[in-house]
Amino acid sequence: MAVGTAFTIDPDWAWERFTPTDDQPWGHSLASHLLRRGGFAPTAQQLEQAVKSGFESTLDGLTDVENTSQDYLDEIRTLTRAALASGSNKQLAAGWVYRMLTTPHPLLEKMTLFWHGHFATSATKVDDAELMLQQNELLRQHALGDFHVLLLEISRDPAMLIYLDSVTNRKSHPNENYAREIMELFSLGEGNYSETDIRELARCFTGWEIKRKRFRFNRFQHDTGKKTVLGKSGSFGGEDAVRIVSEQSSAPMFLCEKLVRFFVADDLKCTPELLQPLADRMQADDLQIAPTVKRILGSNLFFSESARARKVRSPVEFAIDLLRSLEGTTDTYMVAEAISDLGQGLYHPPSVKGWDGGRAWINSSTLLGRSNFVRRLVDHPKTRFGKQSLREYLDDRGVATIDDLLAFVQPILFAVPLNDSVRNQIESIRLNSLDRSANGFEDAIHLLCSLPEFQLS
Amino acid sequence: MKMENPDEVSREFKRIFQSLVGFINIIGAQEGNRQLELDLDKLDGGAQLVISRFVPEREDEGSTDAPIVFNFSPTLGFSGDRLVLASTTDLAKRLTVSEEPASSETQANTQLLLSADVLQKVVVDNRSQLVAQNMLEEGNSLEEAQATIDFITNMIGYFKSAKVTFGPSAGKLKLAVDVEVNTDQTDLVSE
Repeated sequence: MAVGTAFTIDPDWAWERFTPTDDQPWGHSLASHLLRRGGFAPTAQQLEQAVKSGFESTLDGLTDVENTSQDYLDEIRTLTRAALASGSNKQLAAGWVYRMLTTPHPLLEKMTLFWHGHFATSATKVDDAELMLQQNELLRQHALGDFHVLLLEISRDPAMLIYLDSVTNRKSHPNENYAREIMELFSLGEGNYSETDIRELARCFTGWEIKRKRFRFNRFQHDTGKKTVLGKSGSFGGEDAVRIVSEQSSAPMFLCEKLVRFFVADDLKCTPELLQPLADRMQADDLQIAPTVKRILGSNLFFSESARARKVRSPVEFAIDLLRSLEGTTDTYMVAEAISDLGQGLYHPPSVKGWDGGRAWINSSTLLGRSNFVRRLVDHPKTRFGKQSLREYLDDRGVATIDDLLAFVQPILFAVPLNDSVRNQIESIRLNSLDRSANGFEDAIHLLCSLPEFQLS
Repeated sequence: MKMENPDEVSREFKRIFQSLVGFINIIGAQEGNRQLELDLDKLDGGAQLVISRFVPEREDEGSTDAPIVFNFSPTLGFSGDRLVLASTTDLAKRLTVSEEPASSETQANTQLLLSADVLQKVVVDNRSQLVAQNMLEEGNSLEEAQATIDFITNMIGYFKSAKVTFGPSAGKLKLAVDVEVNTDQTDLVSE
């Protein structure tokens, strides 16, 4: 077995199920890594529970997203109905932040966010909150389901039809936007199709329209002639086209690469050799998403040094990790706006390519913005931690000193150990403010979340 | 507002109001918005209302989750030389048929009158939206948000009206607040 650099990773070893060992025991560090990447940062209690339950049980619990309580569904329904009534995209974004903060199934929300970036559709162009919400529900419904079904449903999704101009795809003037993106960005990647395939595929989608905010097939605008797409010929319609695309052998490789970058590491060299065993399994599973995600989250590679602290926190993870780990509640409009200012506007991906992610999240402006956001958050009059002030919340958990605070937040929030210089900086806060000011813990949290170490997950 | 020549001017205002609604509908249709429907209502004493309202789809009648525009029904009212333009038909009706207020001796330059029953009705009609806003703005759970909004609704029920007057009196500025309490208040909202 060889790990450390991407060039020496053994592909078979990489995707084998991880087994805790004496050298790498299942403890707070690994459990936190799994919960954070497969969802959001855990609370101290959730982390203790995960350590106690063991690796397999924690992984099973994380990936089991069935059985949501009726009470929770009612809670979310209240938000979605109100958002529809107001027609406000800001309310939609705040509602999604609320859902990410409260969901009992963090992996489901993480995957919904993944697909939102993958099948990027912006409310700026769609300009209809109902259609954006409809798409969000669709992504959530199929987030861990069958990719063939997801691709077909998203191809007929009204928001997507508007965003990629499919609604103007008539047989006399086929619009090639969707045909290009379904292959380049959604399923196959560049180099796995030709310009002729794009033109022919566009003909298959002619007549796919929207009526009263629902998909409808207009047979009068559909090109019924023979087409040749990706080596297959026939009088194909849109459904046939989607099936032909998703059945391409390059599809599982393309999807696995995106999932590995999302869950494992931003800069991992995803060679075809490394991904092949994972893609083969996904192909064998007929593009079922849940088993693939579970395989990634339970793999040797996921728990190796090639994955630990190898991702930059996205603005969503930055905000939600902090709040969830300390049972925080606040004005979700404010959080949604801050996340947007940091470059990840929910329902407003920057282009059809979605967010670049990784190092692109960080620059001098966003780093300062992240720090300012934490200050604003901890000082906000509506921010509560477990329905209490930060001091009361920490008091209840036996956190009385800066050393206690570091011991408390490090395992739940940090992917790397904090070194002595950080401890010294925090200690200077204790000397300067904790004894004299009521804001000592707020100052410490502000400083901790402004550290380079906190930008990593 | 008082009209100098009610017979002539009221007709002009009616025409302008109807044209305005038509214009709003044309612009609204271009943007896919809901349409206002016009109606006419004759009241006792020769008073008239020109009503515009958003009409819900048949299956949405009675829904409390309808878009917020359904709260509005811009209405023009005429009674004698009085002209009223209000955001809702109910308000226009009240103002159109209300009695002429007695002249005030205090010559208040600012006066605010709040009817608790109207306010309570507005809160009840928009309960689901207010509950959702409370969840999003305060970070409350559904149960907590419902309790908060219902508490506010019931608190409003303890009042009949509130009147705030601000103006000169005997060489001084005087701020007066009159609150009329509802002695037979019953909870409007119950689970």
